Amino acid sequence: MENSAMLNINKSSQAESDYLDVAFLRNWKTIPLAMDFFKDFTQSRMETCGDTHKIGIAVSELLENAVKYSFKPGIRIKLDKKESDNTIKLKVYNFATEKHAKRLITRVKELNESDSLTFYLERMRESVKNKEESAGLGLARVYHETEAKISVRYFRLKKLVEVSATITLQNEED
Amino acid sequence: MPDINVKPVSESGIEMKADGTTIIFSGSINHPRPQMFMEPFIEDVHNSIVDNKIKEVDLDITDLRFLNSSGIREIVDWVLKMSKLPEDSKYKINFVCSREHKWQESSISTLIYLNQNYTNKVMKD
Repeated sequence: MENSAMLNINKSSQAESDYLDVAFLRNWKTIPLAMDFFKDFTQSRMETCGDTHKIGIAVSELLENAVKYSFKPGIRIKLDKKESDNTIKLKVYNFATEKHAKRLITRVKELNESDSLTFYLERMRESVKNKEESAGLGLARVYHETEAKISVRYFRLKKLVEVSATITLQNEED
Repeated sequence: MPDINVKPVSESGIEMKADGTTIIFSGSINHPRPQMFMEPFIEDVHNSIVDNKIKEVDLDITDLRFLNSSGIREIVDWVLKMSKLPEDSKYKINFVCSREHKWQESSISTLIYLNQNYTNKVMKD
């Protein structure tokens, strides 16, 4: 049961915003499907933007982390797009131990205090030293390649971690 | 000019092979542990290049729809391994990318910062 994917999709087209809310258990095979789905959804809403691939990169990397580090099934991803601008907010939730959440909070703090290219290159070099350990390459990639603002919160009672990435897409003529 | 001699790999929707001095990756790499099949393949490629004293190779990823960060790590490992070779054994890696897959522009642009003298990005329509 743990490995069978279950998608609950809520889609609302309100005057001020569009959103997707997708939940699944903990299945790696769901990630590429979710990546394409979120990217295509964004493309359909933001036809003038030429960089919707950034949503694909962010969805894939954030979900990979969620699936990898969640200690029990239950992953949720939300996309919120305001009508007024080209900003997309992605939020990914998964169950996490307090120890993991603290490490993640520290990593996101380091990332936000660094130049994105320098941080990404450092993580690349670090990642090959011990391939069994996480080097935070996925988050560094999202930070640099999508120019996302990244934040993280931990809900201690529910043991739930929320990673948020806010990405501003560009119109092709810009 | 000698060719790169490696066995092609087909695994989890990913194809990796060599044709002359071109290495070709196609499919989509979003496997949780791509190092299981990428690492031995790239190791063989690297050894074949060094053994045959090849000075320049192309990595054609024009048909690679996606590469996750675990896959990027394997490419990083390759570039750093090449960079550690003695100067006269180093070889140039040209990343041949497609404009169709837009992730390639940003991901490969960053990778070549690891060794700007021996890596290069070529964009194809």
